[in-house]
Amino acid sequence: MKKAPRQRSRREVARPVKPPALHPGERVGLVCPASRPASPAVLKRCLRVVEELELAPVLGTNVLASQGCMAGSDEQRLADLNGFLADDSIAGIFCITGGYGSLRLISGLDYAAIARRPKIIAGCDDNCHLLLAVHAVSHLVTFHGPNLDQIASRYTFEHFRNAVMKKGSLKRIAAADLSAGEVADREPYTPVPGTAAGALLGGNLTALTSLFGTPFQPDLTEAILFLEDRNERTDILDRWLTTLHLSGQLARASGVAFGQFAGCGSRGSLNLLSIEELFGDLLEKIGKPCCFGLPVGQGQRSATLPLGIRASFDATGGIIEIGEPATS
Amino acid sequence: MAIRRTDTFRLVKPPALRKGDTVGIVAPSTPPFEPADLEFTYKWLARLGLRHKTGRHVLSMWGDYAGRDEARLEDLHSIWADPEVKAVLPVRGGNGCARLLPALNFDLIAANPKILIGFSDITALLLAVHQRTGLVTFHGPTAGAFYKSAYTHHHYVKALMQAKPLGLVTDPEPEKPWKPEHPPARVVISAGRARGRLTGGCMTLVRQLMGTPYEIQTRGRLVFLEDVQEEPHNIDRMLTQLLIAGKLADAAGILVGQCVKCKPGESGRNALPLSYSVEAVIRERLGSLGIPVVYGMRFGHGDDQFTVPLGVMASLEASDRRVRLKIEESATTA
Repeated sequence: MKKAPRQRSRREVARPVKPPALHPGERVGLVCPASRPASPAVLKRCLRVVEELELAPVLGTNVLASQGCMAGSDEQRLADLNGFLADDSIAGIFCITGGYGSLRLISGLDYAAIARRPKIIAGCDDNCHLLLAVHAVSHLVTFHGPNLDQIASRYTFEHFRNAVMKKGSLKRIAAADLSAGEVADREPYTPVPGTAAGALLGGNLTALTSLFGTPFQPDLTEAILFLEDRNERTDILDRWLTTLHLSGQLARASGVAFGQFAGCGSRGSLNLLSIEELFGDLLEKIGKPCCFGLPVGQGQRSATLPLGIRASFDATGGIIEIGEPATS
Repeated sequence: MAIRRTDTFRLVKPPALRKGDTVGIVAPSTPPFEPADLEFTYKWLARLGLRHKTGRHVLSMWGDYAGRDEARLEDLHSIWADPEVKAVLPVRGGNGCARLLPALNFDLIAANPKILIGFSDITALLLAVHQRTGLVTFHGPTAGAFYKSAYTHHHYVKALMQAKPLGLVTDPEPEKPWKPEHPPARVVISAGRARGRLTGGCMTLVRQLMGTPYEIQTRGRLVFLEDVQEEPHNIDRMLTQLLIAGKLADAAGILVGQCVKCKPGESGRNALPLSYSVEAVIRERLGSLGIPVVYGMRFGHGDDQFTVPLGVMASLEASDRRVRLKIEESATTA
């Protein structure tokens, strides 16, 4: 296994590297660093989504390759990624789908190309390994937004477009966004009320903890940590939050914003407690402002969050307010 | 960055159990399924001539934990501090052990070396106690599982109740050769010889402690790993995490146990299409490390499991012809 470039500590380099915003007509590379899309029809729709953003999609050579649960071998998936990173005609890289596999690639990424030509990298689910590793090593602002196959609402689409194509500040993200047009307003569940300020950091909880103990481990000091996951059992999610707690990182974060946990729950196990109760128990102990129910993650409505960008977090109201533009 | 601790500590072996001794039953993770389960445990302990004391909260419930963290910790501390109790026996794994670590009184444990034995979720306790205090801890059946098979029982008694070198580890006789559920016990992934002190446990727990002050120390060690009800791609994730963290390249050798219910779809959660097998994952991830790797050995979540003492010196010889695992020392003192 190749050695990862040495990670500088957050304190040495406080300023994140912002990639240039995307402009209409620019070429973006579409990749599958983890699993392959469910079908060619899904892929076709992903291309349409990118065209609706007025961008020119360029498909990676291997997006429909297959090896085990992944979209081809590590070499194939890396070739697509590193090819786009090195290609100056490609302005951004969007992930098509999640699954599993991007963890296997982070040691082989072309970090020199990222430093030479920072560009927008967006995705979620398993691709959080990629977003977090690139952010940890290169300090690049990466975008926790939908994988292209998950853009299922106008809300998700608009937030994504706003984050990667607009130069100004981003929209405010609120738990109440989830209920617009529904019967009753959604309110956040807030075990520990309060407010916090810091750089946004986080993503998929399973992926985040997969970097622990490695040179790519994120430093959550003074971060507004946001977490989401999918199709996982409550007790196992509690394990991974316990990892963050045991490492001391949870106590160093300034606040925790929990997004969507789609398909998560007891899933037939004996656990009678919800994620809210289990996580709330831990966070009450350390008195960390936190709330549940933000439109972040893999639900119908999902906002795009830029890693490393300063924001303020109101746990009581369930609101994240992003304080600066995410792109240059 | 987590505090890195060096691997130089004084190994402490707990005194062996003798007939007439008292053992303490605790539930640091999940409680027994029903109170009657404890009766089996008591009967089987009595057959070994052992008395028992049981923690107050063993049958408590908070979610799938045996009471809140404070209650489970109180039991563990009071049982450990009890001078009559010679061995601490978690009744079951499940979930919740790691939550106890920040407030665990390691000084109390270090001052009173006792047998601690369990597996699965108990791995968190085994690793933390072993690494913090130097105590030999035992990856073996819980108090609710040591009577699951003659093989398991034999190895349990051998490891805990006599202070002799444990010697060669043999395999159980295959009882159902027509319909095997698991791979043969000694599939050689990489041949070679290795010698080192044993460490390891359930992969999920090893992963859970990564990046924490209790992270597994593997340098020069003979590392044993197993898991239950995990998708092959999750096994891939855990091994990849350990690889990137440099935890496997510097091990002396790797023993992978039975991975029970680890076929695609058997986890009942996050199954991925077109998945591959655990053996394929192990071959691909661990096959070219240049250290001996064996898969299928009978420890872990099957009915047959031998007891593996953490910290004790062992040697492994894996060739096309045979696999020889020898635990060179005793795990306890007389």
